[in-house]
Amino acid sequence: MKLTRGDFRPSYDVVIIGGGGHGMATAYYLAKRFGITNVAVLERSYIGSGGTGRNTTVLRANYKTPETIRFYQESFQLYATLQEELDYHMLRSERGLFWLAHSEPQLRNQRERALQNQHFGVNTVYLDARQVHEVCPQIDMTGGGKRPVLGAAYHPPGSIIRHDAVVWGYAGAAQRLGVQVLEGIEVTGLTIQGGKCVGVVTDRGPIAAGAVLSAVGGYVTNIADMAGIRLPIVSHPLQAFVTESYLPVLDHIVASADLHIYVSQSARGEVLIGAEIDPYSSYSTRSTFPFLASAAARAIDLFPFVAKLRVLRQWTGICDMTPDYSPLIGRSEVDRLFISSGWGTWGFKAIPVSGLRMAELIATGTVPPVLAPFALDRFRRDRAVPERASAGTH
Amino acid sequence: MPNFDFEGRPIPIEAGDSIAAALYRAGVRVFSRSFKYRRRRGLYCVTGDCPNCLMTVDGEPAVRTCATKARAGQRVARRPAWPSPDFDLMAGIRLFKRFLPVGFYYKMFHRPKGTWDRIEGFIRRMAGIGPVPLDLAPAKRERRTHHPDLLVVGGGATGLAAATEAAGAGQSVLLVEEGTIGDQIAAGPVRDAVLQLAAALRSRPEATILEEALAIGVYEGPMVPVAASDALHLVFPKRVVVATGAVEEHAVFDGSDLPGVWLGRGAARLAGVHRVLPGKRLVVAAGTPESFDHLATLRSAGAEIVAAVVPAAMKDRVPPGIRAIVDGRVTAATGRGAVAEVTVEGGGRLERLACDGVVLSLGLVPRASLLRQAEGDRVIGAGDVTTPGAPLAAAMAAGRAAARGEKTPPAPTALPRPCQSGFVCLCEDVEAGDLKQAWTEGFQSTELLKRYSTVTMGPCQGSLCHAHLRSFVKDQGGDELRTRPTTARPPARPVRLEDVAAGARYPLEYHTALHDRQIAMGAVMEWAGAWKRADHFGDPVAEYWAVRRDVSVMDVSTLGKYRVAGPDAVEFLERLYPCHVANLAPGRSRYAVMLNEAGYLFDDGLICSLGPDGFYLTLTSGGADAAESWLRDWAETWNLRVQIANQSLSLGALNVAGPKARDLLARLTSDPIDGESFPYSQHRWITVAGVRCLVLRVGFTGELSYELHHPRLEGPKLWDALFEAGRDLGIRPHGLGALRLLRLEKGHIIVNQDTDYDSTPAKLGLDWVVKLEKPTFVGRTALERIGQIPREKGLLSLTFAGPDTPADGAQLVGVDGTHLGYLTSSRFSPILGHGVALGWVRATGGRWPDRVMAHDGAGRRFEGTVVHGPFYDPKGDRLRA
Repeated sequence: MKLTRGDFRPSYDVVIIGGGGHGMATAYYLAKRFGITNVAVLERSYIGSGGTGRNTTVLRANYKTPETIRFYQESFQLYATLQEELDYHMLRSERGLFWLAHSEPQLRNQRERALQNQHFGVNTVYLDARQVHEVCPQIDMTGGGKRPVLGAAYHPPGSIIRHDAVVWGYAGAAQRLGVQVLEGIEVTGLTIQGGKCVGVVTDRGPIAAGAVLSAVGGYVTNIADMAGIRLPIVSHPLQAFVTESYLPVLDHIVASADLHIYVSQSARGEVLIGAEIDPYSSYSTRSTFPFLASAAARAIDLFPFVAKLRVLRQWTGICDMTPDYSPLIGRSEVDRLFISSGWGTWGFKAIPVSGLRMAELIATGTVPPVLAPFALDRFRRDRAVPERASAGTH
Repeated sequence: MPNFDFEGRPIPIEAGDSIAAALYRAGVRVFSRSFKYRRRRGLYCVTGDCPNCLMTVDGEPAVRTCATKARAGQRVARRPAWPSPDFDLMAGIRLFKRFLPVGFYYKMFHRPKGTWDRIEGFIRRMAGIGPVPLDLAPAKRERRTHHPDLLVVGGGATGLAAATEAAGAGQSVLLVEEGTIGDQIAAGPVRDAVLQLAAALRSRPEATILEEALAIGVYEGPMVPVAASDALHLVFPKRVVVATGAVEEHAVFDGSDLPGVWLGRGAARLAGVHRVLPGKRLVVAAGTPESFDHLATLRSAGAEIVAAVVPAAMKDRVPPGIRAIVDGRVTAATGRGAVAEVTVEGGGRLERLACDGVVLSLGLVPRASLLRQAEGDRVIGAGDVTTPGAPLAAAMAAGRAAARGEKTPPAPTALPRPCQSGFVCLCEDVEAGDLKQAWTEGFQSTELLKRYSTVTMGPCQGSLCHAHLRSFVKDQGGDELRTRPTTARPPARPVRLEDVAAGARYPLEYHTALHDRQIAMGAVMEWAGAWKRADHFGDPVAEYWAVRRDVSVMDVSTLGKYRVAGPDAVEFLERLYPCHVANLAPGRSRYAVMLNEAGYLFDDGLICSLGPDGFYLTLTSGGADAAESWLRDWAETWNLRVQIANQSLSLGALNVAGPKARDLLARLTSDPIDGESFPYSQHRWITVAGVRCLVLRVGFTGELSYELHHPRLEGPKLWDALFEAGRDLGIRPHGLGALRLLRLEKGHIIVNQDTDYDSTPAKLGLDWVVKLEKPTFVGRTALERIGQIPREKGLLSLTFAGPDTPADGAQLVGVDGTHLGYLTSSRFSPILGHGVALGWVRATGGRWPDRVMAHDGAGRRFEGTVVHGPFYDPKGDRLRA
């Protein structure tokens, strides 16, 4: 891969705001599948600096509504062949994902998830406590003596993949097809004429566009404000931390719905620990100690041996949370302004499908069926896609 | 002489030894193998900043041995290698360097398909700085808090001066030092001065000193957690002075990572503090004023100084008898496994000098992680951390000024000379050539280079290489944006999870006042939110029958319980609930749901009118906490005169249920409880067994039931009295297991089990709880709008023939196989003799199905029938009895 630099042109067919996974994937598919190559991706910092570079890299398709399962299944399948398609290795690694239950309500929830997944052809099985122990003996089945593990939904295809590589792979491939990726340029306004979006205003001047896509994740409400659109989105911080690198000890990805924690070990040997979103809304990416302390305590309850491991870094990303914990993606009230948002804590796994289908929408003007349930006006129509129970922590 | 074990070999310990010093004295030269190429790495910084001396100590991996005191009996080992760390066959891997360029893992292994699957295991086993100890129990430590006027981080001269100044002004001061004060300074006047300052400070009542205490990070506040061996200290100071000093500039040239290449302060520390000679014949590159002190220390310890490489401005400081190479530069170190020769470039020519060590003092780089994390909090840096290499007096003056809140303007620090070759990053084995390669591939900023090459991402978190990274980017023509420092993130140094987790209160575990009573009766407890509740007492079926046929008691103290009073209480509840409240006569109760603004149900319970005393509300156990902010937010938003009291924890509640419930209560009260004076859906103040209770006649189980709300501490007394009095009535307690079945037979929902985010009352079949004729209530606008939209899904009641019934979560399909939904609750009903269930079902083409197929994964299929109304006692005769 080679990233190129260049000055921007006065006008593009499509301007994409946000150089993360979603923006870059949309640019790539616009060029590759729909022949639209006069595309600019504008990134105010460095590419992948937002949610794409801050998430905890889990791929899965074990969701809880038919609409979301279909959507994430397509994404999972696109991910499966992405390395060959982009000629870029992303260290994709199938690990198997546990979703542990330590309470009766979660047990029911995980059993239901397994049954629903199976119905839609997603490989998720319900395991009782004994089976959990057999598959992943590292888990402390007593939950630190406090929260015994009662069972789990186990999703064998659950994988990890190097997050930065996803954005670099798309960026390189898109650039080879003629897409321009511009770093250090910030969008400060949208140019709207007669209800139609015809360009963006940036800190380096205006740029005309045949269509504009916001793919800015946690900051989407700022872009929507520029068009006078109100979105049902509240941005929350989400934190994670990683340890130094150790010899491999944990092959699986282990999440716990009751402890609100998940743990995996990367190919480099770092143990990665994440949790639920912070309860307050904020754009601050400054990490907090209460998170670190509490997440560490919960991780020790699941895996006592991590107690002696050393925290190397903690960091924070911003999540654009929707009321039903499902994406918010499609046309906006302003003609030729498209929005890809509501990615909350589940956006990374959706990058290929969101990129491909958003490109299709922009290119053809027709909403692809897989995107339709996630339209921006669904709340007004009482057609929420409730995923709270499954989105959980990541 | 005391000793510790090093890979099976005893190592003698001298007073004041760190593990690393003792090892070096004993002849150990290879302290670790590098991350990627398994290169030999020796002692290098000796200040706790580099990754070279990380070893496993007493089973714990990645311990910095240069900063850890040697203790008798310790077990110390390097990361295992084959056949040994001194001779690691894997080191040959660098011969294949041209196949392993920077970012090689992004360019290889993805084709042909399956390659990565085969190679991943190998790569994973290559990774890691040590094995994970699977058998060490987590330490239990407590957490303490401090609120000093001033926190000083760093127990050097600057920090001590700052602390002394503040203490002298009568301020409370906490000083934390990573090691032991004075331990790292060679005997002499400076050490004496530092120890004297520390002693004086210790005698002051205003000051507290914590040693062996690591400041983890500077968080918003400022708040600084400090990990010490005894406890985790959370420090909430008014102000912070950071005096964490500086690190010697890391050397990057060919062979600069060989054992025998030393940073100046480290070599001096080894010789001056530990009396171990870092080499017999040393080349010294003296580029800072203090480096001449190091030179003197090394010389007086007995080292021969082969040459001193100095800038012209400092040439006069070279002591007589030592050869000075003016304006020279060390450009390479060579040797088999250790330095044997260095190349010095000077005056346009190269000279090779035989030696067994090279000591480098090229400059000083602030150890500024804490300072950079501070982001404008009341945090001031002083001494080396802002003005590296300042003379002692100036550093102490800066410390005193910082204690007064005055910032000394930092000296402009130059970036190191741009690296040309050699290892930039020792943690991750990133070479200068790797950065160049990555740059040509388009990774043209500090942040992208960091992520692509992993430079700065290892255990030292860039303390050695971050400045080099920036210098490289600047040298390549990077603008300010591309050259800017990468974000400083906590922790400042790697810290154990058990240290940060100390005292974290998780999980919360709430017990009702009847917890022990229930355990004594054989309760199997389960988690319900933060509560422990009884699932059953050994025989859930018998418990179920006790409710249906006799009498049974359940501890329902976890319910949300609120009092709402004040002149606007009626108005407040009318706006809050979708049902009528004003027409609720004193003594009457009403089932009510709580809706959010979107018209979706999130809680349910009872509203009881207490007449002039306002209202008593019950809510679900799970919603008890959230309800408080919900109630208070609205009261404030509407500016109504109401008082809200959360009594969820101060009141207990017992549900006495079953056809014999009235007989039982009659034995314990003289108040009238007959069906006429106390009918269903009402409440009374009644004294039961001497305890004044608010008694609610409720119907969740479907039987005659009295819910006794009482002061929490009276619970055990009430419980005992009920069981004593009911012995001949067949009384037994019941738990959640029986309750889930009892309520399901009545078709009663459990919020969050049977409801989802978008559950309107209509979807739940609860239209009757909503009075749209009311002018306003939370959710009304949404419900009116939603009412215009055809309903797509609903929670339906279903029956199955039995005796086998589908499991909770079973999937529902139509006769034609289309997916319709799933079961939220499903049980076999002993009293009805068939299965009963609730489930979400989609309407197809505007029609609701009459029959569905349920399958629950084990290949089992069940035909279900959609029914209307409660399964059991549909008219409610039993609960009205």
